[in-house]
Amino acid sequence: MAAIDSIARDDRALFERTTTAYGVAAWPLSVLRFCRRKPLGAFGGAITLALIVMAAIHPWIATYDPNAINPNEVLHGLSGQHYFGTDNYGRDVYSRVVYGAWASLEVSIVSVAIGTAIGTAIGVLSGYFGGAVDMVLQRFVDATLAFPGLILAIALVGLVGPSVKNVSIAIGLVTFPSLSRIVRGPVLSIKAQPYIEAARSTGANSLRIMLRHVLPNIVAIVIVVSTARFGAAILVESSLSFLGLGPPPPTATWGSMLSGDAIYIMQTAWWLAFFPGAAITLVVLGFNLFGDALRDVMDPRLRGRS
Amino acid sequence: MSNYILRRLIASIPVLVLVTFGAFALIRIIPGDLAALKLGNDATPQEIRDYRTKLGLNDPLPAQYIKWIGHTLTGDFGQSQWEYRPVADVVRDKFPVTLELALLAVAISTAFAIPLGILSAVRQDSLLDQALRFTAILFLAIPSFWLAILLITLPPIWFGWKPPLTGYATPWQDPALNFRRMIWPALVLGVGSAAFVLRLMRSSLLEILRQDYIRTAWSKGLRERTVILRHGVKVGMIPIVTVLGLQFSVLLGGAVIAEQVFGLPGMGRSLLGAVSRRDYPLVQTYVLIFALVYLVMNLIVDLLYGYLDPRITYS
Repeated sequence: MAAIDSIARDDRALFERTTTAYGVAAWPLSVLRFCRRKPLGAFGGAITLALIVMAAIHPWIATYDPNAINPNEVLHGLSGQHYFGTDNYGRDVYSRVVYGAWASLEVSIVSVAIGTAIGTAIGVLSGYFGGAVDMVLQRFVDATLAFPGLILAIALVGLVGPSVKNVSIAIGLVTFPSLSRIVRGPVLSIKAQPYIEAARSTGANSLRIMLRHVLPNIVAIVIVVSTARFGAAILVESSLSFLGLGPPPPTATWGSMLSGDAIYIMQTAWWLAFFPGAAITLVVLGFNLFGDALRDVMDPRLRGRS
Repeated sequence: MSNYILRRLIASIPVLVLVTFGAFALIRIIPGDLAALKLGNDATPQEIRDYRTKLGLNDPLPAQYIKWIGHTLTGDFGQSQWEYRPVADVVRDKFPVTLELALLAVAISTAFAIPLGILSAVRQDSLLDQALRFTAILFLAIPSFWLAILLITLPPIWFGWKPPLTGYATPWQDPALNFRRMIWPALVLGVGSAAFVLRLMRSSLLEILRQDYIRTAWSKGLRERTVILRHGVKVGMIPIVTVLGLQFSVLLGGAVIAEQVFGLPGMGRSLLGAVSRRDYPLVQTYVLIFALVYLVMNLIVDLLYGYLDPRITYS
C-alpha cells in the first residue's frame, strides 16, 4: 500500500512541479518522465498528437480532392497513386480518410466541450445548492440517462439539421448527465470545507463562491473525466454517421465511409472497409490510452470510474 | 426491503413523467410531419390537414399528451401508422428479438470477461495479464459496426463462408436457425462489452486482494481457490453487477447497429425506422420501454448489492 501511495504522490508531483528551482520551465522533463512511467500512455499521446497534426494540415497531405469523382478509376486497389485504393465513385480513400480526421477531431472537441460545460454546471449547481435544486436537477439527469441516447441524438440532429456542428452539439447533450453525476460528489464535500464558510462570511455571494472557490477545486476531476470522453465521442459520431445520421454527404467522415450500401461493395474491395475503421480504432485507442495514463497520474482515486 | 422497493418505485415516477414529456415533445419538434410523409408529395394542404385531424394531431398539445398518457395507462398504446396494426402487437414481435440479442451478448460478455478478469488480476503484471489488458483496451476502441462489417466481409474472402444475413425464426419455431442468426450479432456486441467488464473485474479484484481481511484469510491457511473466489471475487463482483445491469440497457440501445447490419427484425431497427417515418405512437412507446428497462435494471442492481455485500442494508 505504502509503495503505491508513494508512486501516486510521485506521479502527481510530476505535474505540480512546473518550474525548477532556477525558474526554468520543467515541462519537457515532465513529458519525459511521463513517457518513461507510462509508455502506453505516451504511445496514446503520440497517436492523439498525430491526429491533431493530420487534422490541422489535412488540405496539404491529402493527395486528391476527397469528393472528386473519377469514373475511370472505380474500385482500384492500393497503388502508388492511391495509397488506400479508390471507392465505388473513384474517390481516393486515403484523401477521404485524411479529411475524415478533421471531421472526427472537430466533432470530438466541440461535443466534449459542450458536454463538459453543461455537465459541470449542473453538477456544481446540484451539489452546491442541494435541497430542491438538487432534487429537480437530478431527476432531470435521471430522465436524460433513462432516455435512449440514440433517439435523443437523432431528434436533435433532425431538429437542427445534420452538419458537423449540429452532430457535435447533439453528442454533447447526450453525454453530459454522467459527468454531472461525477462532479456532484466532490462538490458536496468541498461545500463542507471551512474555507467556503470563510468566503461566505466575508460576504461573497453564491455565484462568486461557485466560480472562485468550488470550480477551481474540481478542475482536475473534470479534465481527467473529459479527456476520457474524447474517444467515446468519436465512437458515437462514427456510429451516427454509419447509421446515416451524421454530417450529410459528401462530407467525408470515417463512419459515413462505412455506411449504406458500402457493405455490399466491401465484400469485393476490402480496403473500403479496412482503412476508415482502422482509423477510428487507432484514434480511439490513442485517446483511451492517453486518457487512462493521465488519470492515473493526475488522480489515481478515479481509477476505474469513468 | 419491500418498503425500500416501494419507495424506489415511487421515486421513479417523476423520472418517467419527464421521459414521457421528452418522448412526446421530441418526436413532434423534429421537422417533417407524419401526415405529409404518409400522403406523399401529391397531397394538397387540405388533405394533410384532414389527415392530421383524423389522427388527432391538430388538437392542442396538452390535450394530445393527456390523451396519450390516459390511453397508455389503460394498456392502449395506439396504432402504428406504418405497420397498420396496434403498437402493442409490433412491440410483441420486436421486443423478444432484441431481448434475446441483449441476453446472449451479456452471457458472452460475462463468460469471457469474468474468468479472464480474475486471471488477469491474480497473475498481475505477468505476460498474460499484459496481453489481456492490451486486447481489452484494443477492443474498447473498435467500433461495433466495424467489427460487424469485418465479420461480414472478411470470412467470404478467407473461407468462402459468411454469417447468414437473411431469414429469421423465433427460438420456438426453429432453434437452429435462430441461433445461427443471433450468435454473430451477439458476439459483436458481447466482445465490446466484455472488454469493458474485464478491465473492471481486474481493477476491482486487485483492490480487494490488498485488503486486510484477505490477508487474514491467507494466514488462516485457506486454499488459494477459497481466498480468491469466496472472499475476493464475491465482493469484487459489486461493480461488475452495476456495469452488467447498465450494460444491459446499453446493449438494448446498441442493438440498433447490430440489428441494422445483420438484418435482424428487432426493436432497435424498428425504432430507427419509426423515427425516420415519424411513427409517433410507436416511437413514444419504444422510448417508454427503454426508460422502463433502464429504471428497473437500476433497481435490480441496487438490490443485488445487498446480497453481494452484507454490510449494505436498505433503509
